[in-house]
Amino acid sequence: MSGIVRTSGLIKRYPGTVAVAGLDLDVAEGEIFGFVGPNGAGKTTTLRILATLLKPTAGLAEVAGIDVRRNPDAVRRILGFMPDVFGVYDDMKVWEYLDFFARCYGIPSARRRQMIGDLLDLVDLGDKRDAYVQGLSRGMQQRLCLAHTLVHDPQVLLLDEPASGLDPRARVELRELLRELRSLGKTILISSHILPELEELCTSVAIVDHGQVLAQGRVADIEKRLRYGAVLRVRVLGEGEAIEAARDFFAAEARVASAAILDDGQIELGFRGDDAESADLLARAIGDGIRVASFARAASDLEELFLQVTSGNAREAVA
Amino acid sequence: MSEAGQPREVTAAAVAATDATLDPGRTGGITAIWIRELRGRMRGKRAFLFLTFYLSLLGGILWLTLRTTEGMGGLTATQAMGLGRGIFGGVLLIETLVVIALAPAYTAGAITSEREKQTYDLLAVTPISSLSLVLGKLLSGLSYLALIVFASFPIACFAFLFGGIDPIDIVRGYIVLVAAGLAIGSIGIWCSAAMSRTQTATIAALIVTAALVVGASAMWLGLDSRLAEAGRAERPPQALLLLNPFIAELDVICQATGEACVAQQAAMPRFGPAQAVPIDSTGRPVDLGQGQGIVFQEIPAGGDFWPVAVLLYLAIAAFAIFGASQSISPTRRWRWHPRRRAAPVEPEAATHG
Repeated sequence: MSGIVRTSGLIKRYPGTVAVAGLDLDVAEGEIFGFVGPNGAGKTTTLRILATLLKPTAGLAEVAGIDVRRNPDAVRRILGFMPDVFGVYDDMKVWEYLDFFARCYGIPSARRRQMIGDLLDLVDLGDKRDAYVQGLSRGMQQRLCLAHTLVHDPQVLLLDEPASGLDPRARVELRELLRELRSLGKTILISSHILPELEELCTSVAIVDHGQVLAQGRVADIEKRLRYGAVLRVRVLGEGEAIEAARDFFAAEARVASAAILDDGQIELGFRGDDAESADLLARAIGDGIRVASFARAASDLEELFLQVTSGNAREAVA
Repeated sequence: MSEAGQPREVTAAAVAATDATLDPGRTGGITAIWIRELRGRMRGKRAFLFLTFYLSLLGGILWLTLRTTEGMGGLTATQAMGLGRGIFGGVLLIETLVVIALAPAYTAGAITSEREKQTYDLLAVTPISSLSLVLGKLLSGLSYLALIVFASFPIACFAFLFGGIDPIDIVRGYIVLVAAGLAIGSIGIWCSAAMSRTQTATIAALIVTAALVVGASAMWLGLDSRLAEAGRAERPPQALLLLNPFIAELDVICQATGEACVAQQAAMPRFGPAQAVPIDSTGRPVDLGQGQGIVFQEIPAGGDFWPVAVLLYLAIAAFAIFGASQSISPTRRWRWHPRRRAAPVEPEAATHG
């Protein structure tokens, strides 16, 4: 396995609870990897273990092939971490904030000035160089925190809920910034529960719940594996009775779990079957005299996928 | 950076090779934290207002002391020397009080405040070692205190105008102050590293400091009075008094005046009120009932106590700094990395990778 971030059988126990229960993760280099899960799923704990802030109870966690438990100092040099909740130092200017962290990473003074200017330009805070950090808006502080993770030009960025608390404009700006960072070759592991945002941004996702990865890979690939739980939308010609007759036909089919008429007249089918079986269903409907105008799988989004994966039946299907 | 769309094989060796230069080192980490803390502490008026108030207070006391001598119609040489020594001793004892009172307060919040402000995680994921973090915090906490103490140096030097004091006496006094400040500050840092709230850490640091400074001396006094009541000549261990910086400073003052001090008196076997036990020519206590020639042992002048106290303070500081670096976080414990020799490469291992 050649993933730049990898966990295997990762476990973190606290007294009375298991936060991470044998989590396996594999993030390829250069990805924006979404870490999706409900509150308490173990996302933050996993990120904190990878960031060397927590010791795992058992299992393996590696960044760029380095075991975070055996060699945390080396891991700290190659990753940047942005926690979900962070504070700012009082009485500190924006450039001083970045200068402090650059010193912490041992960046030579000759490089610091230029680097601070470049980073502030990257996060669009160039005009706030001499402003006090506590005077910045939440979105600006978020971008500054992101800039601080970049002072040592890390290969991997671990961002825990980076968009939480941001207004829509700040979210769009953050999204653009993350895309830019990916184009610079960074691997970004980003946890969030704002799923539509991750869907637009991420190249791959891992859906976690109860400390375990339920599904992992590209959104389209996960969807393929979950075809047994697909939603079909059918539009038939005609009105009223014709639509109800079509609904009754589909409802009587063995593979159809549910059939409902939507407000726009379409029929939504909960379908348990693969592509071949859905093609057979269409053929039978046409053969039965139903005038099908359109028959398509409902465009599945990450939110829907997440709900499917974290539901009991789908968990079994994924397993 | 890999070419776009071409993921490369990542190996630990490759990463280690590319990032070897990114090491703040021990001094780099300490300096980074020190500069940041000082920028925060010295910005604004508060620090300078307190310094001005403190120096005005000391200056006022000095002025009042000098005013009292004006009505004496000129000082004899002995009186002038006494006044010089009085100024020297007064300033040293006031500064000792300042160090004991402020060192825990300035250091006990050093690490807890990072946790409370939720900035600790940002700091903890940098490659700064836990020891550098503790030392940087200690240094920055004590820097302002050092500024307060050393700013009063000119006031202590007023003693030279009257004589009776050598420059080396002042140096000795400041050595004790620095060592005591280091020890008490390190205790404050340890409390800060081990606890989660600044308020709790400050209270704990003050209690530990009070127990060491006042408690140990009180214990000595209690033991001594019980021994006296029992009619026994021996005294409690002098080591209990070593923890009290006031007694160490009194020893410095007594060394300057050539007199015996409380530390020396406390080490002498008891024989009557304020009197040392008589000894014979072999150094053994004399039984007065035997009618032999009596030689009262002379109590030595001060000067042998404070160096031991300084060594003890430095040992306490080292112990507390180690404890703090161990208490910071389970993932940032200070580990001893002995220099390892490169293991010889086994032929099979080389073949199979």
